[in-house]
Amino acid sequence: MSQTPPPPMTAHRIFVMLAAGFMVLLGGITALLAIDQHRAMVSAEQLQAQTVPEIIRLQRLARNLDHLRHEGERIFSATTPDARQQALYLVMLVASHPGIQEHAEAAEVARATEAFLTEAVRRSGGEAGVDGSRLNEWKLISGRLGLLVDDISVQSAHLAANDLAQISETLRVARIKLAAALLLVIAFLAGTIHQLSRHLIRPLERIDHALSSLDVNGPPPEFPPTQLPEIHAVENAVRRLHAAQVNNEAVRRELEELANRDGLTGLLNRRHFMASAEAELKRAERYGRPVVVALADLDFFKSLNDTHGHAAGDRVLQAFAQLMRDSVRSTDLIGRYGGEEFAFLFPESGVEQASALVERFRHRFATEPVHLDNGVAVRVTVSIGLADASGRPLEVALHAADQALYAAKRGGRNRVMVAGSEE
Amino acid sequence: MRLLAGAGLLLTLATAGAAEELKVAIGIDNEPHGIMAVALADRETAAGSGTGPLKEELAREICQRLHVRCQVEAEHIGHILPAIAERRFDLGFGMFLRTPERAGHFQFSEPVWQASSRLLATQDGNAAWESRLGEPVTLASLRDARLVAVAGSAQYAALNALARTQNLRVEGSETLADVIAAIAAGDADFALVPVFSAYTLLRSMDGPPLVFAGAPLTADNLGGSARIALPRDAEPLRRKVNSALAAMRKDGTWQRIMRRHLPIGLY
Repeated sequence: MSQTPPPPMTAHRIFVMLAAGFMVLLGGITALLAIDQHRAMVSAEQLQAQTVPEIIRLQRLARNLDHLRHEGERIFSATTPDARQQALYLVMLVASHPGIQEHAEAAEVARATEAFLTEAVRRSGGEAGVDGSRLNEWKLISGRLGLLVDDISVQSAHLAANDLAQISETLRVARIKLAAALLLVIAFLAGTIHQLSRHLIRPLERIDHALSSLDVNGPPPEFPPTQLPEIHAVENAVRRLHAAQVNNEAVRRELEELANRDGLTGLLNRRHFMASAEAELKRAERYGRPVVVALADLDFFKSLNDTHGHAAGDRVLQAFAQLMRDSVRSTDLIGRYGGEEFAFLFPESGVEQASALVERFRHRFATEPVHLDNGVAVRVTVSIGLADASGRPLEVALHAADQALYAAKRGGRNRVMVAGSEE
Repeated sequence: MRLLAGAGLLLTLATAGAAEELKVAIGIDNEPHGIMAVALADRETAAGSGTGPLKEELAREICQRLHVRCQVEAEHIGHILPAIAERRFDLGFGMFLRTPERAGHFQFSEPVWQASSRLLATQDGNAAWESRLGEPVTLASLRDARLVAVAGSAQYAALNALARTQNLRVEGSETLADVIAAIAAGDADFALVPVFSAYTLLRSMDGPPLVFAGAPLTADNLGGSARIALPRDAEPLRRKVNSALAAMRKDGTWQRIMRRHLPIGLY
């Protein structure tokens, strides 16, 4: 039982996974921060709703106990029974406060204080002052009140300190989590960017470079192995594009050949010969180099056609063209000028050098028979007119060559005539 | 036509003015011109002495912060809640406790102060009872005693609840001043009184020195958070009153008013 291969990891799938991963990461971080924020808010709310009221309650309790001690001192310092009674009423009022009664130790101390002071006032009766023998005992009670006031004050201060420490600890932990989360996000983004660069951006850059340097004369572009099918598809498309370009170039060249060549002889046709000759003349003129043009015409070609047929004429033309191709330099231009007439251009050649070349060619053509398809061998001669084209327009040079050709025909054919020497 | 328009304007202004007035009941601790008033120092206002002047000043400060005019009337404490239920008053300054029974019939402000109740007696009377009992006097230890409280008050109800089991003879008086007068005159052995209100009377009266006896009591509606009472459907007014109270505490007005009526800053 064959297992189905896992689907390829496409760019779309990778982006979806990255987005999902980032959302999960961000959601997790947000949740963590929300939890810390909730803890901080709970602590702050507790501080506001419970601790602060408790602190206020304890502070009020301490203050009331201090009132109790202070009024006790007034009883002992009072000089009239009425003043003592007024102070005692205040002692009773303070000792009766529910806030004191809610605190067990404060309630016990307040009861003892009130009982002691009530008894002290009662025993003083109408005297000017309280019995001094009770002063030491009062100092003990007063000291106990003072200590209790201090204890309650410290207790209230600690309440706030504890809550604030808890809030501070929560915020500290939240800060650490935030820093860790930030590092995590940075690492995630760095990893993501690295993977994107490795699997997407760099391959795209290579594709861009391959496209921009695509050359029909060069080899097909090469790409390193890639994991993303989308990139692979684009790379294959680039390869196909290069192959198509190479094929198109071949077709273009073939079409160009067809457009520029004579179909029978394979030589340049007249139009292309003229265009190429014009360009060559301009180049020679620009650099001051010698150049020669020539016109050749097969002798008695009409008689050959009439005697052996047009196929024989075509065969002779092909043999003539092949002989010319074999005889001239690769830089020389040869074209079928029309019918049995051919044109030449010899760059970097003086009249004498070109004349010697075409003379050898004329002689060779005249001495080598052309074998027709029916087995008959015929000898055909050619007349050639030559003219110096240096510094002259092409039409003028060709006209001079044509005049020389005409002179060669008039002189008995099968000869080479140079323009200017035919008189 | 002009006359009608003018009359309409006056009617509108009168209606608006009526809407901006609060009827405030101040619970009195004594009759301003009663028998006890003669013995009290000259600290009387429309609300008499005791806690009346303090309550009245608090009421007027609240009204001022609510931008309304106060129509203050002195009223016996036992009559205030029924009057509020009948919508004859908008605010009741009797320093009421919010009991479960009352919560269904009235609105209450945030706590104004903490209250407790105690027995009150003459020095000698208390000493005699301590000698008789062989221990400090408490409400639970009293037997065959004559007690007095303000009729209709929580203290009066608490005494009556114990009267049969402890063989107590309970008398009710119209005002707290009358209760104190009964103690001072020896017409009762003990009184069960709200401490704070009693103090404000005791400090101003002449006569035999009185003492509080037993532990301060807060259970059975005898103490706890004292509040301002409002009609049941006065929730918006209750919120405004609470805001005014909070603002008074925040800017120190509350503390200054208390200072004017108490020699110490008692919270």
